[in-house]
Amino acid sequence: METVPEQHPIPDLTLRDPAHQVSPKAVIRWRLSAVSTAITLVVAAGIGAALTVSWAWIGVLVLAGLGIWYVIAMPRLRYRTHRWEVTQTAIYTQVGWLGRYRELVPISRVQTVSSAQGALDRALGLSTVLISTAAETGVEIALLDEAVAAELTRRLTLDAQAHGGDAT
Amino acid sequence: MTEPLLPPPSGPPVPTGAPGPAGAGFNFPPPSGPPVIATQNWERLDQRMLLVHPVTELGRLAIPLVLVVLGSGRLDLWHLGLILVPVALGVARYLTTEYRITEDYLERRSGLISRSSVRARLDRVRTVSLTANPVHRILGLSTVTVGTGDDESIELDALGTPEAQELRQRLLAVREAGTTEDAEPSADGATTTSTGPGRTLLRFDLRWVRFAPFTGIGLAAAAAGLAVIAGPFNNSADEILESLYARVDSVPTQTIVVALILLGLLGTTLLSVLGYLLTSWNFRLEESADRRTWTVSRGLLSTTETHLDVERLRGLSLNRGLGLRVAGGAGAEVLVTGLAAKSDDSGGLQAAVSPPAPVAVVEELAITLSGDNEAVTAPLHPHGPVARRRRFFASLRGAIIPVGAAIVVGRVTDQLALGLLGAVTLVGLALVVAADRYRQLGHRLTEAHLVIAPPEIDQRRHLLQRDAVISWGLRQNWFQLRAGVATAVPRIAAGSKHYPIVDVRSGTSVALAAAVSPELLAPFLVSSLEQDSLLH
Repeated sequence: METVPEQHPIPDLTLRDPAHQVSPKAVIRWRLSAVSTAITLVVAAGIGAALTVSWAWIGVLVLAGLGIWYVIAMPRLRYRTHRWEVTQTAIYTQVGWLGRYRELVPISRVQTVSSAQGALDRALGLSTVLISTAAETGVEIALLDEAVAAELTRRLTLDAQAHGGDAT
Repeated sequence: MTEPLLPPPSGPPVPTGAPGPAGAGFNFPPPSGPPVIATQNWERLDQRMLLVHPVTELGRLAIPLVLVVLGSGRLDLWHLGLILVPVALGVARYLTTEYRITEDYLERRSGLISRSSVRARLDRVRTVSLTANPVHRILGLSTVTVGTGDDESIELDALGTPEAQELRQRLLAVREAGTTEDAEPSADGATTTSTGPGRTLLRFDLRWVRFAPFTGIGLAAAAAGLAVIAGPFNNSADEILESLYARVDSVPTQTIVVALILLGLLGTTLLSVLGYLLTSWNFRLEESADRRTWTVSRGLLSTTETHLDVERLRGLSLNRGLGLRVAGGAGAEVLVTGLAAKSDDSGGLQAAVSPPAPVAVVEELAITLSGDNEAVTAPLHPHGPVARRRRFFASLRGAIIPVGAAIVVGRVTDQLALGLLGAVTLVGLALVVAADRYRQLGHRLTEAHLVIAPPEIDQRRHLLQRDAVISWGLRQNWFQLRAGVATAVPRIAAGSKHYPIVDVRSGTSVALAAAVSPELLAPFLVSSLEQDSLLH
């Protein structure tokens, strides 16, 4: 079971981005989460620094600076990366802000389709479509406009049922 | 912003209600077909459980009972009456647990105060296991565990062993009759011949016991044993030494220490060998005559029999932990839908089709089970210099804390030289580990399988059936994006469900996914002309 150098027989291929972006209101949603995370961290660090040495305050300042950058930059980067596309046969999603994480799922193997909406999402008119297969339960198309999400859920449910089968 | 929604459906309609494994709209064949197991009415389990349940309940209530007796300070007559409580509970449990097999379902209901019932569709049955602990074996009982998909199972504890075996065969036969595409299931339904014994694929060989101390359990037992030996020895070293000196004046301390260590090693080796024998005695892997079912049976005191549906096979895993690599051994597991590979204690052994055994034996078995010589034995493609670099970084990152700790401890105890030596050793170890991990990392695509070896010291080779791959993840964190590599994650409905191919060139990751799942990737691939104009 050892590896030996060998010319890889398969030529390279490239995958394009999914076609659609998520709702622009998602930026607001992400920014709100970022603010809450940043404030929590900075406050916790501040408490820690108050209890220990004085030069720890430098760390708190650095953290605050990072927090500000995070709140400003992360939602925008995320909005550029988060994309989705659904065809007759496949679901293709892409998420991330520093990294890029893509998932490809065939509709014929989808077992459940549902949608979810947190309180904050509802206030902003956003919704998330959740998909599971026999192999994983966590594929989601997050933070779409409510109407889009509802239509997508409806369409996916019909398509998945049409394919039938045990889906494993 | 209103997004353009899905394109209107076009193309030929997808056929529905096709015969096949369980799904919506499935119809059982006409009445002359499947065997009627139907108990129809609710039935209780074997009467001998009247003996077993009270004892189990007594065991559960033993501690509170003892506390009550101790608390009152003496043994009254009514204390003896308390023993009747668990007995009554045990009898009640027996009386209130029932099962039933209807045309479509296996149901079990139980509970004294709050009734609960579980049921499973007969056509979703995937595995049927019989287990028997020592008490069961003495009484001639077997527990039947019926596994459906989604990691669910129904347990009937217990039936008489002949009844249990007959139930198992009938359940498997019903599932078969429901899944065959021909209109003619076997004439007498619950036949024994179709699932009867065929050829034996693997039989236990006592000489394999030599691998026992080298398995994960063996090594862990050895480490634990040594810690146990060292623990009290450290704490009460003086006392032990004094008492020993009182007896053996002339024996120097070092000899005693060495003797104790050797004793510890011997003891833990013995433990691991015993453990191996207990779980793997008489290990047999048999294929049924119709080649649709594999049966794994093993165990010395408790025998376990697991039946695996060949149709549910999705792949194989060959494993060689560090100890086994040294000793020339290996183990094999099958990846079957409905079984989780080693995810919980009770299910841990269920996917194994061989105990730790010589590499050649396990490889030959793997070739037989997978039908793919190349997938089992051919060398794998390495992932390249970027992957190697990332392994080193990961290893060194992991070593930071131990190295720091070594230096700090060295300073604090005024043994800086020793601390630095320890730190250097740790760094060296990290480098060695990283190099080995890179050597293990690899993949290969054969005609039938996608072979994946993760970057770990515990050498593993996962063989995934190409058409078992359901979906793909193509994952790149920030570092991977900049370095042009990705981790491709094929997902199947068996085993650990996802098997990452780590740090392969991003072009290769897409190409692999496209080769294994062409229809899934095809709409999203980019032609080479467009490739050049893309930023990433």
